[in-house]
Formats: sequence, structure tokens, C-alpha cells
Amino acid sequence: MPIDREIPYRDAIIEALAEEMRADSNVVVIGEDVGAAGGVFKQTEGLFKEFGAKRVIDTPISESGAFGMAVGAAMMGLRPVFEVMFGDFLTLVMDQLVNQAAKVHYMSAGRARVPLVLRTTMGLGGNLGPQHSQAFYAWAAHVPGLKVAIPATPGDAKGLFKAAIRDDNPIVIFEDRMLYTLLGEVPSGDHVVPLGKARIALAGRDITIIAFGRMVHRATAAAVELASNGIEAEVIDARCLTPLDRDTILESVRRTHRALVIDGAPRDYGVTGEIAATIGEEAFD
Amino acid sequence: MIDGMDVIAVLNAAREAVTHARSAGGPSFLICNTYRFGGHYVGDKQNYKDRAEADSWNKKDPIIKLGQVLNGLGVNGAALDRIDGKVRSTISAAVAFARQSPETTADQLETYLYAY
Repeated sequence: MPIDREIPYRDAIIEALAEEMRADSNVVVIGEDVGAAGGVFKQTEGLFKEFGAKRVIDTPISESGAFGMAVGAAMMGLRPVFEVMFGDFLTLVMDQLVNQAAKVHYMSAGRARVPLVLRTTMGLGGNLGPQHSQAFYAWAAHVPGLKVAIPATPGDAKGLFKAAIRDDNPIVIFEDRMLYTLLGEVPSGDHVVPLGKARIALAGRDITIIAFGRMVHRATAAAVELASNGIEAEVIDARCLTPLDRDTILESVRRTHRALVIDGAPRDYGVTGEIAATIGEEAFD
Repeated sequence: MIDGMDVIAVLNAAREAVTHARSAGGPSFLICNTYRFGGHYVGDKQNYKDRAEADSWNKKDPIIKLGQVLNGLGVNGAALDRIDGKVRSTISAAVAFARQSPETTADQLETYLYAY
């Protein structure tokens, strides 16, 4: 697929949504201010104009009720992309997400499916305050039955969204608001990035740095600095926490014999611990 | 406010509310007063219930009540017994199926965790 242009992360997501909505009339966008307003961070801009109020659905400020309806709609065959404006407010949909959406397929022995994407924003920066800055992906990744993706680049934002919309499971996608304006190469056609495949952002032989989201860019910048000191760091962008591409991580660490896992969220009982444990258990003799 | 122990009353009220909603008339609230026969968990002795009160509600069982309504409409006892028997055999078959099914094994723990 030819890479012929650079577009921002935010536009890459909107492009993925628009393409999937054109391809499948069951794909709908639901959330607060997603319609005529185009999203508080302009992250659904243009969709309302093209698809109208029946497919780009504004909800009242009642996340648990609205998300519950989205779960039911998914069980009945729609493919909702539900937006929780700030990841901090996942707290308000946790019951529907954890106790309903993640359980239905298992409890029905595969008879019911929940093809649903929950998109939400996260991360520090922008002076948005303590209830608008947290990153709760470790919570979601801890729940069996959910998948979790964290795109770091515009290309992956488009590709992971398209894969998630086509997947028959409930998937939570965390978008770092500070990446929305990041420019990057995005294939203009049907660009799909499979869930559960990590990306080697930078190849190296001396140490493996595993990161995701914003931290991929920090890690890559650090690797460039290390290179000037003669240390070649390999940077792996995990891309998905569930399923986690353990093979790519382990293959790299077996080669470099050193690993560093970085994360912007609180460390205790978090994602870094899980990845470090995997490396400790399986990569070293 | 609806008698939640009356199947026909609940059906009619729900139909009216759905028609109202579908014709863009907005949402409705249906308050259906009813009673919970079962306990909170299997084996719940329900000591928190007053026996006389529970008995009085048992007499209002909506299934029995619907049978009486059908009877009044000319459905004879034999026909009602046939329905009863059909329901009982469906339940017995489900119980038998559960009892005869093998215990799940450890390698089946994650079966159906994700849809493929």
C-alpha cells in the first residue's frame, strides 16, 4: 500500500471511522458531543455531516446508561464506537464494561457477541486537572474478555481502529490527547493493523525498550541520544496490551539481553510489572 | 401504575408505551407492582420473609392468574394441563442435560473468553 501523505493522529482516527462507516451500515458512533459539535477535541469532526444523527448519536451526560445501550446494541448486531470523553470517566461505565460487555460472550457459550469499541482519551498535559488526566489502561487490561489497544502513531491509530471495529469483541482504545496533532505517515487505502502485534519502532542490539502510547516517542528520542554514546537501543511499541505480543518482546530481549519497560501511568500493580514479569519468566535462562 | 401480577395488564401497558415511543412520543415509565418469589441465591431459606405475606402473594401467581383468564375465555383444563406438561418436560430435559454433561476441564477455562 503506497504511503503518500502525512496526516495528524486525530484525522487518522476520523478517517478510519468514516471508512468503516461507509463500508458497514451497522457501524455507529455514540457519545457526548460526538455529533454536530464534532467532539470536544474535534475527534469526530465531519462524521455528523456525512452520516447524520442516526449514525452519529449524541447522548446525555449519563455514561452508564448510554454505554449500557451501546452494549445492548452491539449484542443485537450493531457495531458501536462509543466515546467516553475522558478516560477518567471509565469509572462511570465500569459495571457495563466489566460485568456485562466482557462477560456476555463467555457466559452465553459464544451465542452472544459484543462487537464494540470504547474509545477514550488519556494522559497528562493540557492543564485539564486531576480528573481529566489519568491513564487507566491497566484496569481494562486486567479484565478477561476485553482487548486493549494504545496507538502511538497516526498510521497505527487508523489501522488499529479499523481492526477493532471489525473485531467481534469489546475493545478499549486509549488515545493520548497530546498525540492528536502529531503528524505521521498514514496509508490512504484500507490500512488495517492486526490487534496483538507489536511494532519494532527502532531496531537495535544492546537493550530492548518496551513502551506504548506517548512513551514510544520518548523512548525513541532517548534511543537517539544513546546512539550518540555508542549504545544501540531497540524500541518496541507494544500497540496492544491485550492481546500482548509477548513473542516480539521476548525475541528482542533474548537478543539484547537487557530490557527497560516504560509507562506514564502509576507503576504499582501496573502494565510495566506484567511485561517485566513476562520477560523475567521467559526471556532469561 | 400497573398490577405487575397481571400478564394481560402488563402486556397492554407495555404495548401502549412502545407504540408511544416509536411514534416519537417520548419515553414512559411503567410501574409494575410485583413480588419476588425466589430468594437471592440457590438455597436461600428466605427467613426475612413473613410466611403469611409470602402465601398471600403465592395465590396471586401471574401464571395461575393467566390460566384462570384463559379458562374464562374457553380454554379447557386439559389444554392448560398440556401447556403445563410441556413446560415441565422442557425443564426436566434441561436438568437432565446439565446432569449428563461432563465437568469442564482446566484446558477449557478460556473457551469462549473471546469471540473469533
